[in-house]
Amino acid sequence: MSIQKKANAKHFWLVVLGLFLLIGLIAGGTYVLDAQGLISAGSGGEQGGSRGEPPAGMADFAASGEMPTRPDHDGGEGGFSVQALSGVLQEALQIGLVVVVVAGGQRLFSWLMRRRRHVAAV
Amino acid sequence: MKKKMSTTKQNLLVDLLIVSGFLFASQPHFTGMAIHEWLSLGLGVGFLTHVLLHWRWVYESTRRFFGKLARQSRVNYILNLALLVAFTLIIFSGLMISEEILPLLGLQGVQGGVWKWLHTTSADLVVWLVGLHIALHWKWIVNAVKKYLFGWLPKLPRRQVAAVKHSEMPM
Ligand code: HEM
Ligand code: HEM
Repeated sequence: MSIQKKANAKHFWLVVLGLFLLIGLIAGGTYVLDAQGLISAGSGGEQGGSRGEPPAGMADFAASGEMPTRPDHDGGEGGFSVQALSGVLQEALQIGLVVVVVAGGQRLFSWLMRRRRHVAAV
Repeated sequence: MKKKMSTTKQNLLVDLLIVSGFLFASQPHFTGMAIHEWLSLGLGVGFLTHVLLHWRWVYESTRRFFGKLARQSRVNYILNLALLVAFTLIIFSGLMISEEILPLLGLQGVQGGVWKWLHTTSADLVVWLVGLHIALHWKWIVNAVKKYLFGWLPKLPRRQVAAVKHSEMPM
C-alpha cells in the first residue's frame, strides 16, 4: 500500500512538471516567434512591410506619428446592461448548439446501431 | 472526522466555477478591464486545478497514447491538448496587452498588434473547443447535475415513471 502511494505521488508530480513545461513551451515559443517577427496579425503580413492606410479620422495621428490616447475602458463600459447580458447568453447558446449537435449526434448514432443490430437479430 | 467530498462533487463544483468564469471572462466590455484581467488570471488557476484533479487520467492516457487507449479517450486527449494550447495563448497574450496587471508590476503592456490579434482570435476560437469539450462529457454532466444539484427533488416513483412512459407510447 505505501509503495503504491509513493508511486502515485511521483506520477502526480510528473504530471505537474509536464503541464508547466508544456505551458512554458507554448508561451515561450510564441514569444520567440513574435520576437523574430514570424507571426503577424491577420492579413497585415501580406502588405510586403509597407504601412496600410490609416483608419478613418486617424490621418492626422498617422502623419505626426503621435499615438492617440486610448479611450478608458473602465467606468462607462463596465456595468450591467442588456447588451452585455446578451453577450453572455449568445455565447452560452453557441456552446449549447455544439452540445446539441455533437451529443445528439452521438445518441442518434448509437440508437441507429442498436436498431440495426436488433433488426439483424430478428 | 470530517467527511471527504466525493470526487464527482468536487469535479462538478470546479467545472461549474470555470464554465461561469469563462462566460464572464469573454465579456470584457461587460465586466470592465480590471475585472476581466483578474478574473481571467484566476480562471487560469481554475483550469490548472481542473486538470490536476484529473492527473491520473492525464498520466495514464499519456503513457498509453500510442498504445492501447479507447478511441473516445484519444479524441478527448487531443481536444484537451488543444484547449491547453488555446488557453495558454489567450492568457499569455492577455498579459502582454494587459492594462491593469502589468502596470502594477511597473511594466508596460504592448498596444494592439500581434498580441491583441492573438488574444481576440484565440478567444473566439476557444468557444467552439469548450463547446466540444462539454458535449463530449455531456452524459457525465447530466448525471452529476441530477445527483448533486437536483438530488433534493422528490423522485417519481418507479411505477409512475412506467405509466408516464406507457402513456407516451403511440397508439
Ligand atoms: C470552460 C472550461 C471547461 C469546462 C466547462 C470543462 C468541463 C469538463 C468536464 C465536465 C469534464 C468531465 C467531468 C469531470 O470529470 O470533471 C472535464 C474533463 C476534463 N477536462 Fe475539462 N473543462 C474545461 C476546460 C478544460 C481545459 C482548459 C483543459 C485542459 C487544459 C481541460 C482538461 C480536462 C481533462 C484532462 C479532463 C479529464 C479527462 C477527460 O475525460 O477528458 N478542461 N472537463
Ligand atoms: C480565459 C481567459 C480570457 C478570455 C476568454 C479573454 C477574452 C477576451 C475578449 C473576448 C476580449 C475582447 C476583444 C475585443 O475587443 O474584441 C478581450 C480583451 C482584452 N483582454 Fe482578455 N481574455 C482572457 C484573459 C485575459 C487576461 C489574463 C488578460 C490580462 C492579464 C486579458 C487582457 C485583455 C485586454 C487588455 C483586452 C483589451 C484588448 C483591447 O481591446 O485593446 N485577457 N479578452
